[in-house]
Amino acid sequence: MENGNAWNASFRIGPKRQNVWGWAHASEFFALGLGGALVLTRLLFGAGLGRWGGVEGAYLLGVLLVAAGGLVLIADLGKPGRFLRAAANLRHSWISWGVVADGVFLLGGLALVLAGGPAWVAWVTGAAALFVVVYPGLAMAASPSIPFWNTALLPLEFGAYSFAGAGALCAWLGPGGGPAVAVSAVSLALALSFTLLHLLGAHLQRGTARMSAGELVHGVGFLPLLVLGVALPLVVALLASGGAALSPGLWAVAAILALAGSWASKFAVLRVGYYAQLF
Amino acid sequence: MARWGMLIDLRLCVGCYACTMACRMENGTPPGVWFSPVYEKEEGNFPNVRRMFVPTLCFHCDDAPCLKACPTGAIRKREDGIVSVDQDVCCGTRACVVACPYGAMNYYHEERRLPGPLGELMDGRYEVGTAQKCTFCSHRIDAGNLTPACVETCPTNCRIFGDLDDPDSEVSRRRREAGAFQARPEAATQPRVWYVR
Repeated sequence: MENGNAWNASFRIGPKRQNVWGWAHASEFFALGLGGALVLTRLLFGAGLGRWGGVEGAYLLGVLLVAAGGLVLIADLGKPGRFLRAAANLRHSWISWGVVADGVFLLGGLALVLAGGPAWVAWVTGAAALFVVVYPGLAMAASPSIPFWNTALLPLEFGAYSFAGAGALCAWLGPGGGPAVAVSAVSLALALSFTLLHLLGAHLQRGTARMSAGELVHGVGFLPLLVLGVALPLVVALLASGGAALSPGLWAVAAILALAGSWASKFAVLRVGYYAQLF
Repeated sequence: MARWGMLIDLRLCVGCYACTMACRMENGTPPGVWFSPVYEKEEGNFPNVRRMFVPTLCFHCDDAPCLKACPTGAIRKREDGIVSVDQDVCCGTRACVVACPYGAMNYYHEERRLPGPLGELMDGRYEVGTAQKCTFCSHRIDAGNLTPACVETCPTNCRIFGDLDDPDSEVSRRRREAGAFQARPEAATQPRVWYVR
């Protein structure tokens, strides 16, 4: 009977949730974002994870994360053997550009890990890393079908969460110091701001964008996520920025919460992707 | 060259689902893959309530978001305006499914594949793990039959198919005279399916 009702409901006009992108895409977006942000945090701000067995930890982990994210995506494809074709539509598709950026990032990142590489390799890898961080948001924001995603805030939001996770991880595991804490604090503040702006903007719209925002706030525990995954690590980062001596254990908790918040924010946005109604 | 389009007169649709089934029989789509579903919508408030039926299909948009989203280039627009998916190129990202504002894209998931001989029969026609959608029955058009199966079978003639670029075609004339509108104009996709209500 339940199946029959679900079948009937699928033929009724009404808000329908997208159900083709889920945890695998959230994990992929998380891994790509964190990997790219780790490399950029090291390149731009000098904050890293220290040396791991003679190689730069931030570069190594960044490359491993982006490779893992790519593998998750390939495994989730309907036809994994055709994954290289995903770079074919550079004229229109952000995903195609993302595939190219992933490839450039992996090659450049490997060069940085193995040989240090000349300055131009670092810059090319950095540019690719920036694109790796934002392209999932750009691909989703380009869709006119899901109004909650169809906003320029989404790539900024995803990027801020990625840098928040990277900054917190560097502050926890790295040699310490101000840059990582500053990256973490600023990114967490931006992530919180972009999220609230996104929710407010969607709430002010009519239709399914408002429904998505409402479901985030009321339905899937997004507010606890904002408190635990963003606000709490932000307080820790602000305290550290103010000169407070924090124990490594507190940074560990803050970093794990920020990373969990980064993944969960992507998953939540994907989950509440309601198509606009036909009529 | 003709550029095909369709007009659907919602005032005439009686919700018999003959178009949905004719499409299924013509195209032999797998379970859960519907190229031409008819949706129900309730309008008004008690006691003045009415049920409306909304036949849909791929809208073959001139500015198709599925085509832009597809990273493989598997989705192409033919010269006659028909948007088609090359399932031999599709790698199954489902980007087109989330990009289509009209819910016209189907993803043929492994879970939907029938076991046994029926599944094997469909394997010859539809590849598991690829996107599928209405083609305006392009195989019929290419063979010289200019009427899609859904149009041919409709008992009320609520679907009219023809050349939208020909001002004298029935579809163009009815579009002008009946004040036809496009679904979700804010999506700016320039769909080639028009509605009258």
